Amino acid sequence: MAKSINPRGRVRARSQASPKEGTRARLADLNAKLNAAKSRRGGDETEPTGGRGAALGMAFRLATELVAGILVGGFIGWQLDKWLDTTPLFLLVFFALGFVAGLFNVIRTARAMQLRAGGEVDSDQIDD
Amino acid sequence: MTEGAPVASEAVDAHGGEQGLIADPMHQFEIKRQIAIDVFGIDASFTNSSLFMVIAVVAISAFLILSMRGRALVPGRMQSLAELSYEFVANMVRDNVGTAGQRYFPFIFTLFMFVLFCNMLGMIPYTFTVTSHIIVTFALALFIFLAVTVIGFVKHGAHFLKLFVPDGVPVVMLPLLVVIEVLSYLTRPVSLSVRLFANMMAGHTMLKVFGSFVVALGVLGGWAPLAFMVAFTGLEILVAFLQAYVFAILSCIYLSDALHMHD
Repeated sequence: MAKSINPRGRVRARSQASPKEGTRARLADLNAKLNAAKSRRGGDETEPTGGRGAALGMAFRLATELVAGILVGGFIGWQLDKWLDTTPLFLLVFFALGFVAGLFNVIRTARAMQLRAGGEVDSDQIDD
Repeated sequence: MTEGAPVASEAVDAHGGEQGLIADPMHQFEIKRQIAIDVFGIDASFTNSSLFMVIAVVAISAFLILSMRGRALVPGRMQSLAELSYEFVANMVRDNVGTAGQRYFPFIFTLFMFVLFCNMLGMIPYTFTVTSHIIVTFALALFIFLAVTVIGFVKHGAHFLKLFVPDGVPVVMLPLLVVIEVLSYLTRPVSLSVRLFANMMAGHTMLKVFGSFVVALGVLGGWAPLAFMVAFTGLEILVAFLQAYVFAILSCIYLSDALHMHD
């Protein structure tokens, strides 16, 4: 936002020195240039972080999603065993279930990421 | 904090005689009581962790209140920063939760700023990183998890349980899948808190370890780890921001799930 104010302000400040017609022409010119630059960049400027940082965040998100599933499953199984006195039964069952839940989460997160990336990521980029 | 001790002695042993030079990488995470408070046998002391939470809150308040005091139409540097952070979170809420989420904007904004400031304060030497303790991040995540669940039930009633029943599944498979869905719902606070805590703790431990390499290798050999440290500090600042962002955006996504009930 601050970016668009600065160049315009500069042009306006100069306008007192030059004739009005010239200023208008230059403003239109600048506008055209700005629009061209914007369209060259492609509208997606909302991404707050660099591509590499975002990728790191995504990778870590997927990893923790899987680990958390196993942790929660293991913990519930362990507590159930302690409560019902059936040691290793529920631990094993819930460990496996937790792993599956973690996988579900990973797939879901990956799908959401793919949707979010949407237009800018095309199929050959996903392949590598 | 007690786990810190064996790791510390290992680190010192591994480097033999250089005990004075190698700093204990876990020492920075130690909780120290500043003011001892005892509430009916529960240790509720004001610790260095509490101190830095207070510092973070004061810093956020000062930053936002002082920078917005001018209320200039064309913002100065500080006001730009404040407006930028406001708009950043406002857009995040709008994009992820929609207009229904505007009511929860104050909470998400507070959450984002708190985590961001705690992370960033930790990047200053000699400070304490509040978010490097899993109990802090887990308490934050658990609060979000409970709040989101309550909001879901208030909004949809018993219909909210439909979140755990996937569509188009044969009845035989249903009990198994419901258990898995419930488990995957329960992993949310764990993955949310583990991610933030692990990132902060691993980063700060790495900084400490490589920092002591610089000291131990001295003027001759210390340049390589020093160069790495400079790059790694940059990365850590990025991670500090990124993890605050991820924490806030996931809270938005969970909130959106509860409000709109789509998967």
